[in-house]
Amino acid sequence: MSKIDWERWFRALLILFASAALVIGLAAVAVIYFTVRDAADAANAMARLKVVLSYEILILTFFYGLMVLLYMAGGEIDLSMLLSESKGTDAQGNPLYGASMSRFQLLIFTVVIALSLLMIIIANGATKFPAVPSEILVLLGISASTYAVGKGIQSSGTGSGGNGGGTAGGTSTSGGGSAATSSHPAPTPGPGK
Amino acid sequence: MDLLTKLATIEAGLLVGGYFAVVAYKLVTGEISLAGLLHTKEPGGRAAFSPVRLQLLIFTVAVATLYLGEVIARPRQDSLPHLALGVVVALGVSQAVYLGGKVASAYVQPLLRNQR
Repeated sequence: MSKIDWERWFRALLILFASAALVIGLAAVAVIYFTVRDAADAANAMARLKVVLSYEILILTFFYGLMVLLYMAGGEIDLSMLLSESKGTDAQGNPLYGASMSRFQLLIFTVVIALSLLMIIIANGATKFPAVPSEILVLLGISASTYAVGKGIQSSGTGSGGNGGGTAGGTSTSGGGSAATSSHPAPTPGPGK
Repeated sequence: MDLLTKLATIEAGLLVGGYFAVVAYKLVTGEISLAGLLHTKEPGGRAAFSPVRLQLLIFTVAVATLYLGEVIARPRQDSLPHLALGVVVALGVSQAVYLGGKVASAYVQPLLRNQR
């Protein structure tokens, strides 16, 4: 399917989901208002409002999340550079990109911690949010700091006078085989706005 | 578990699982490029295999696998599993080595080359 088709398809989906969220939200308000009865406190309007708002937030969050998911899956949200960082330039001065170890590590840890959290919540019957030990925060902090410091080294190394570009502090980009064989050139921009 | 909690859990599972599935699919198909993950750029622009990156990858995968294994083995807990201090320190050292390598290639190598 071409990019134009995807764009049309996603626009239609966007309108459909927004309309569905509104209709479902209003229906939820009506149904819950007229049907939900708190046995202990039937006349408590605030309790009912809380339930209605909870369902409404749940529905809206789901549709927004679903739209982001569909856009990611369809390529409207371009993920091709998710793990890439600048690796300097080739002989013609075109920027080169390669996968970044620190980005990859941050992705792995994020996935593992998020899945662990979800599994524990489900296993405990979603009764409460589990505590997060300080070592996990330290682990994520180390990982994120490495990414940030790596970025700093990369940009200051690139900007250092007369030494040319390059993540690894490349000097002159001239010379035999100047293009890093494992790096790839900057991709063309995705269809996203 | 009341209906709202059940729905919220299902929603979180679907969305989080969906996001990770999309990223995993794109990694497998190559849409998210992993080219150059274990390589560093040498002076002259050539890509060279980097043992420092390899050790960081091994540490990362090992720690992540162990942690996930522990959660899968005992999911009914009040908190996320604790991580041994030694593991955190080892990972910190691993990161420090990686950053040291980056600093060396960004500052020390050009300096030495300029002195020659």
